[in-house]
Amino acid sequence: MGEGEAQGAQKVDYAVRLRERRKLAWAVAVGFMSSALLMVFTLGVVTGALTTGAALAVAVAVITLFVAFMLMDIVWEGWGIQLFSVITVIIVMLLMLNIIFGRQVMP
Amino acid sequence: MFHYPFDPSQFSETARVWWNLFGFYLTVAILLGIAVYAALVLIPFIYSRSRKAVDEIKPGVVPGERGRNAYLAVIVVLILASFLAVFVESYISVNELASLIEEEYGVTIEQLQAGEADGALVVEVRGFQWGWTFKYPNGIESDVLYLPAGRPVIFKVTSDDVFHAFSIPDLRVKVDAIPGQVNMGWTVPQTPGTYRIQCYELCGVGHAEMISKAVVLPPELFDFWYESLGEELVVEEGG
Amino acid sequence: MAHRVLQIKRWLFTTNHKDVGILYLVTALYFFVIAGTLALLFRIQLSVPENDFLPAGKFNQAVTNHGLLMVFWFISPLGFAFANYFVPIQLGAKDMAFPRLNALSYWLLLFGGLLMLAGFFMPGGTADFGWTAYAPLNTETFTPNPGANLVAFGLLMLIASVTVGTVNFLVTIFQLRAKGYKMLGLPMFVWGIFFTVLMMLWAFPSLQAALTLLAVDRILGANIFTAPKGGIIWDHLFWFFGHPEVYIVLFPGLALALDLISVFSRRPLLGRKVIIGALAAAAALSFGVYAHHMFMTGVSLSYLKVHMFTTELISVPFGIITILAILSMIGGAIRLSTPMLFALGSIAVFIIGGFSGVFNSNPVLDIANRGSYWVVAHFHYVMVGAALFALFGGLYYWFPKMTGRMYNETLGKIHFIISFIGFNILYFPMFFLIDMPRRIYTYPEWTGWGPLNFIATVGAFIFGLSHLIMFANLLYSMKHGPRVDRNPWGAWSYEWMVESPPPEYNFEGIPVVQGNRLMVVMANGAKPHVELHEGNHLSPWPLLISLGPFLFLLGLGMWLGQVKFALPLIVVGAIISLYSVYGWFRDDFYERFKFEEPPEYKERWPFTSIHRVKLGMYFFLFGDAVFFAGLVGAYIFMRLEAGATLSGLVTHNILLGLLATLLMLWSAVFMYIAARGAKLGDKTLALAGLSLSTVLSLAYVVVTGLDWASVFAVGFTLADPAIATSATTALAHVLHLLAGLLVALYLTLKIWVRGFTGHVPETLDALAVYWGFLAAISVLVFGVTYVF
Ligand code: HEM
Ligand SMILES: [Cu+2]
Ligand SMILES: [Cu+2]
Repeated sequence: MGEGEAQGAQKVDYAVRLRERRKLAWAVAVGFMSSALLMVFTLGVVTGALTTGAALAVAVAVITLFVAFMLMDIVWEGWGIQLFSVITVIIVMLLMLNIIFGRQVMP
Repeated sequence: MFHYPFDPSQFSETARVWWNLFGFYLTVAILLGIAVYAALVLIPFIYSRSRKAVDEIKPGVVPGERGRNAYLAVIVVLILASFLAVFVESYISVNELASLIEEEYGVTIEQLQAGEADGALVVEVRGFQWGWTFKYPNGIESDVLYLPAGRPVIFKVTSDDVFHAFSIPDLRVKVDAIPGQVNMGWTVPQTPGTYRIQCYELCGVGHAEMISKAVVLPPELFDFWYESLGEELVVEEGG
Repeated sequence: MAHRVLQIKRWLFTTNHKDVGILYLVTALYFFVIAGTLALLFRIQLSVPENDFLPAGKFNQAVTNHGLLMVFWFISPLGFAFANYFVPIQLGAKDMAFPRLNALSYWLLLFGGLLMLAGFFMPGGTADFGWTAYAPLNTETFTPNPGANLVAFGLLMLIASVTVGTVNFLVTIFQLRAKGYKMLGLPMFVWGIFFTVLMMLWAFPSLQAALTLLAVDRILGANIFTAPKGGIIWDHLFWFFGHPEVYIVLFPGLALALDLISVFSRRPLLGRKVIIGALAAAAALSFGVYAHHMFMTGVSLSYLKVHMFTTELISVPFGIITILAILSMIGGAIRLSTPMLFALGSIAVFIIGGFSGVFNSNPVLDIANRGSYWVVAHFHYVMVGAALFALFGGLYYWFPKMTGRMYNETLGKIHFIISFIGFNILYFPMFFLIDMPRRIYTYPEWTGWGPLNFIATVGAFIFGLSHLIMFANLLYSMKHGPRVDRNPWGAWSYEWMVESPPPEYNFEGIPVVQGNRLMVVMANGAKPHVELHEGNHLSPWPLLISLGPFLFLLGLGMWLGQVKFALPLIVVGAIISLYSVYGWFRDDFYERFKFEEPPEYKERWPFTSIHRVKLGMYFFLFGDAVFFAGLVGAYIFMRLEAGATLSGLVTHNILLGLLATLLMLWSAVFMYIAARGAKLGDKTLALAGLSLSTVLSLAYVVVTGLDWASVFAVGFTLADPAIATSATTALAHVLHLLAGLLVALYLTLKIWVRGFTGHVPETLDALAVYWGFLAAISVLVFGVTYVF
């Protein structure tokens, strides 16, 4: 193994370390942020401040996606995984919309 | 002998709409079909004997890209055009299914969905394992469906137990009977006669026997039956 | 003798993709024979009016099992027999990405099928509600037949098989291509399989959700599908799966027909990229058309119009594919060998099938078609006609590759002609039976349906028996056919560059693609695979890990049907299941099963830097998301439709729910931290994260359990469909978590004892992704089922 290659390997290793550390910090941040959001959201429901279905739905969807994208590493992956995640979200939405609209009376 | 491909259009309004549309689809299918099948049969026939044939598949070589873009574009556009034709026609016809009864008989969609309209006869259809009952506004309950010719009929269809599908095939009526839900269907029977009613959704071991009959009567006769509170009518079999 | 024992061991324990392919092939054909026999039986019943050959109950059971077996255990597995055998070779790979999981797919499929067949032997009979299993007919109330439980279990095993296989194929296609092999250069068959598994990925979980709810209904006595309008949610979940499913059945065959047409007319496909695009478009659209199966269910008109539009739109890509396939032949040197005849026959019937589909796409025309023999004709033209003919063409095409011998060409052609004619005699008359309801066991004389039915039955026998010619031909030629060299058809793809049958690892060197040339190079002149693949290729666990649940579920089904000897079966099944899971983990603990091609020899675009285990996990979760969406969707539906249900706010303790969700969330955060520890090589961090995560998730299970206990304590029961659906969701979530905990436990032990050897960091990384997913789901579940 040549000198340059060894150095290269060292560098990659360093990059990995940096990345993992950043991921770690972000995960803790996500933990705190979504916990706070969830508590606020629950509080809103319990006190009656958040009543309409739309507000609830948006809150739930935002927190869910937030958790999924961060804790499932999706933000850190290449575009391939991100593309597949987006398609999955679309398909899930498709199923939900069909169930909600495919009834006798449209909401 | 066969009830098909015969023309059911004189039996009811819905059958007429159906038949016109079917004719249109069939025409398109046959025209396109002839072209495609001709190509499918002729090309192998011609080129399996052709001397000028080229061999472009080489072991271990990924076949190249073929086809000029213009050529492909023409094909795509042609297919899209026939799709568009079919779609426009079917869109019109689906709307017609609702607008027809409004224009000719003054029954609006809202009335149809609510299941109450002045000019129309509203029949409540209940499916059960395994049979049908028909209930008329004046309270008659019957297991034979009597209908007046020339007057719109609205069916309010539901089920006691599992999914059934209420259908009078010759009149081109078909509505799913679903427990807990009332579905609407309509038609305007035109020709007096006796028609088969049958269930079109598997509903258990008695499914095949869920046959009943619909008797379309001339209006006066129907009114007579209706006013005499549904005494069993003896009519000649026919239709 | 010893040799024979070795042979048996090879077939039972194999993980080699070619062996698995052969197993798939034999199994698919076996189920074909059974399902075909059922079909002949009910065709006899229908041949004349008022026949009493089969009584109604038997008839319905025959029809139901015929449909299920043909769709799930014959046509799809036949396509996947070829996919198992040939996709890795066509990619230039030495095996699938996960060989043991590949074997597992097979055994789950086989045992699922056997479970389903066992239903026939239950007192009271098996499922008789049609392959679409409409609710509420499929519930205990209306179908008490205990065999129906076994059918549901069999389908669940099949779904497990499909899920595992899907993940495996996606990772294989994405990451095991020969170096330099661009996606666009792959044979159409690989493209077909690629889109098939993509559709499977997102479609099957919806069926899984439907069946899970059904199992809860049937076994726990819930009231989901028997609730008012409850049957409609079955329609949605079933057809969201069901429509993609019909393309899942079609695509392998259709794509194969395209390859055959190109090879036998010696011409590259016209507009290859356009065709690939069209396949992609059809696959994508397939998720947005399914309400065309619900035109008569009274769903709102504007909703129907959308689906009418998309359904008609889907004829555009299919039209393009068909026409380009036909025009591709122009100017070629066409050889009408048996595979080519089958490919052309497939296209020929596909045209009729497709046109009749367009007729169905219009709600007005569908008034006549729905539930009638017209639909039966339509889907047999596309499924049997297009898919089966093409796949049988593939069987003839690849026969010399799989055996090294040639079949008898004349008999092959005779088979084609007879089966093609028989097929049309069988199904074409059904277009004229547009008046006749499907799935009726008999019909009165005066309907006039007798003659056409008689013709169809004659056709059925011609078509069914014609395949005996094929079986005879192939069985004879396997032993006595003339030997052929490696490329009898002059085809171009990788499988034709290796011997027939291919050696154990397919290539004696390293497959590489340069430009458009497929090559196999020798590294330093040596045969590299000898060093590259250590470890053996045999593992007993895929078999045992499927056998255990099979026995367990069989016992459970018998117990539900009050059949004797159920308990011993349950116990034995449970023991085998547990032991085989332990065995699999133990093999991994000592890293006994090693099979991996060096990534640097592979083309991995667009997933160049992600490990295969993590990639597999991602794909699994993308599918799983749809499963949970189905369950949560069912809950939403119940809240919207079944009037008397109460909001989760009333039934649940929302603060307990919040606590549980937070526990789950932080459990995921710690799992994530553990994975970071593994990547950083920090053993303490990894172990600390793992154990904290484990503790928190156990706490989550306890709190959730408490909350549900309080719900039931107040008097709510599963008879309330909203409670039943949300309880099912919670249960599914907890079961996911428990399965994950097993892996977490294994990883903790391994890291503790052996450190970061083998794939430990990657597995932990994948597990963290899984935990993140479960956390997201618990937020969703909390938001929807507690608050809405
Ligand atoms: C041009 C393409 C196609 C169109 C527009 C189309 C349309 C339809 C429609 C609207 C229905 C519902 C009919 C009804 O129940 O009233 C239907 C049923 C069906 N189609 Fe297609 N179809 C097409 C291609 C295919 C293909 C390629 C397959 C399978 C390989 C397929 C398999 C089926 C099956 C199995 C059913 C019946 C399901 C059941 O009720 O048991 N179709 N099709
Ligand atoms: Cu029925
Ligand atoms: Cu469909």
